[in-house]
Formats: sequence, structure tokens, C-alpha cells
Amino acid sequence: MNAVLRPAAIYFALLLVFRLTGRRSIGDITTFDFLLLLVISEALSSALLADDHSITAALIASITLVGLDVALSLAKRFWPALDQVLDDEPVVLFLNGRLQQERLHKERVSEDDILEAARQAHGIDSLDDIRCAVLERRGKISVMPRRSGT
Amino acid sequence: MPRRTSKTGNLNKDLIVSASERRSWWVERATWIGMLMIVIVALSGGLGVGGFSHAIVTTLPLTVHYDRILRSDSPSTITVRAVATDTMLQVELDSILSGVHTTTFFSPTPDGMSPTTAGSIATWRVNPGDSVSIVAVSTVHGIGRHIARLRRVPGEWIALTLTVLP
Repeated sequence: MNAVLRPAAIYFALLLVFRLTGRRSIGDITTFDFLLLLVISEALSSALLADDHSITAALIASITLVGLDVALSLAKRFWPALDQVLDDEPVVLFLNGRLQQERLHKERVSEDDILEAARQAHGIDSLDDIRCAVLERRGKISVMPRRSGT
Repeated sequence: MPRRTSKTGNLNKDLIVSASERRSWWVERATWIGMLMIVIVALSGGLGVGGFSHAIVTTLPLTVHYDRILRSDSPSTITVRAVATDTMLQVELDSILSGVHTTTFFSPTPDGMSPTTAGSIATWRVNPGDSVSIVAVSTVHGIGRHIARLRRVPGEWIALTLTVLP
């Protein structure tokens, strides 16, 4: 029973932690974020199955975690409100030449982050060439370039 | 017959829901149901410690609480209850039980342990008439099905059927 309940508890606890700390936690992963994930996984590994070192328990825990993920994705499809609670909504960071400073501050995104996304996606190196930048639900910044002549 | 739904523009690739695609969806959903079944069986104790696995065997004056289904390299608990009729309570474990359950902790701690031809005897000093509850916490080894035995000395052997999963 513990092999199901412990992973389930950890899954929902992590879901809560990452949801409350903001989308940037996983969205744009840096070297330090990666190290943080390694440390978190190391910290949780002992709590996941306690003293149970059996193959069966490891499989049950894995199935529980994957199953919860599938169940949540199905639940989000049936209840859009849940989708909004768990994944939030896209946020416009830059539109028609204007940076949305309050949103940048709240989402902990800088002008440099927008320019970095613009360089990577379109080879753009100036905000003047950007029509719109949006922080997506998964934490990625998508950039729409200004069309020539507009 | 597959149903043509649309084309993907420039890639000129047909978006056909083929029979193999439908088959893979069916397999995916069947896997989800299989996973759900495994979780339900695990929660009920069918794959280790839990309600379905828990068993009680009573052969007076001993009552033994144990798990019939165990997992190798995982902890397990056996509880033995008895009413003391003497100043000593002796419980003999056969070698199969000692082999499957490597006891890491007894509560209360035995006043003596000695080997026997069948396995080993644990001895506790008690007061006559006392109701004694002995808890043995152990690590499980030996994948497979085992018939292990224990008894109060002197007394009849109690058989415990143990199934140890990987």
C-alpha cells in the first residue's frame, strides 16, 4: 500500500510546490535548475519507497506516478477549470512596442529573456522587430516578429 | 477502411487515421487500464503488505499476525500473541521462516536465543497469566513460495504460507 501512497503524496506535493513557485521553475531550465532537480530527486528517493528495495515496489511506484500523470491529463481535458488551475494561462509580456513591466516583474522575466527567445527563434536582436512576446503555459517565451512594413 | 480527414498542406502528408494508429491507441488505453488494475491490486495488498495479504493464524495458545504476500528486500512485521502459562515463553522458528525473514528487531528483546535442529528458539521471561505480544520486524529474502513454521515450545507447529515477490 505504501508503494502507492508515498509516490502519490510526493507527486501532489511536488505539483503544488512547482505550481506555487511559478512556471519559470521548469520552463527555461538553466544549469542550476538542472542541479536543483538532481538534488530534489536525490532527497525524495529515500522518501519514495522508504526501506522497500524490491523490484515490485519500484514498479508499483513508477506505475503510480505515470498513472497519476495520465489521470491528471485526462482530468484537465474533461474539466478545463482544472487545466487553468494546474497550468495557468499564457501571459503577454511585450505588445506593440511596449514592455508589460508589471507582468515581467511578477513572472520574473527580464527584457533579456525576451531578446534571448527572439534571437533563438527568429534571429531578432532588437525589441523594435518584435510585435508580441508571450510567456506560454509551459514556461517558454514565444516571440512573434513584426512583419516588414508594419 | 481508414477515413481520410485532411492533408497537412505543404508537407503533402495524408492525415489518415490508419488501422495501426487505432491499434496503438487501443493498446495505450488497455495499458492505462492495466496500470489502474495494478495500482488497485497493490493498494489492496495483492502485491505485498496490505489488507489482502494480512493473515491471522490461531493455534492456541499462539496467535500469529503476518503477511502472506511479501516483497524481497522489503521490511515485514510478524506479531505473535500468547498468554503466558509459565515464567518462560519460548517460541521456536523453523529454518525456512528464519531464512525468509531476517529479523532486524524484536520487541520485547528476547532474553535468550538458541539454535535447534529445526531452526532457533527465542526465550522471554514472563509472568504467568500475562498476555504477551511479540513484534518481529524483519527484512524479507528468498523469492518464491514457502511454507514456514513456528510454535510455542512445547506445542504444535503453526504453518505460515509465504509468497515472496521480486
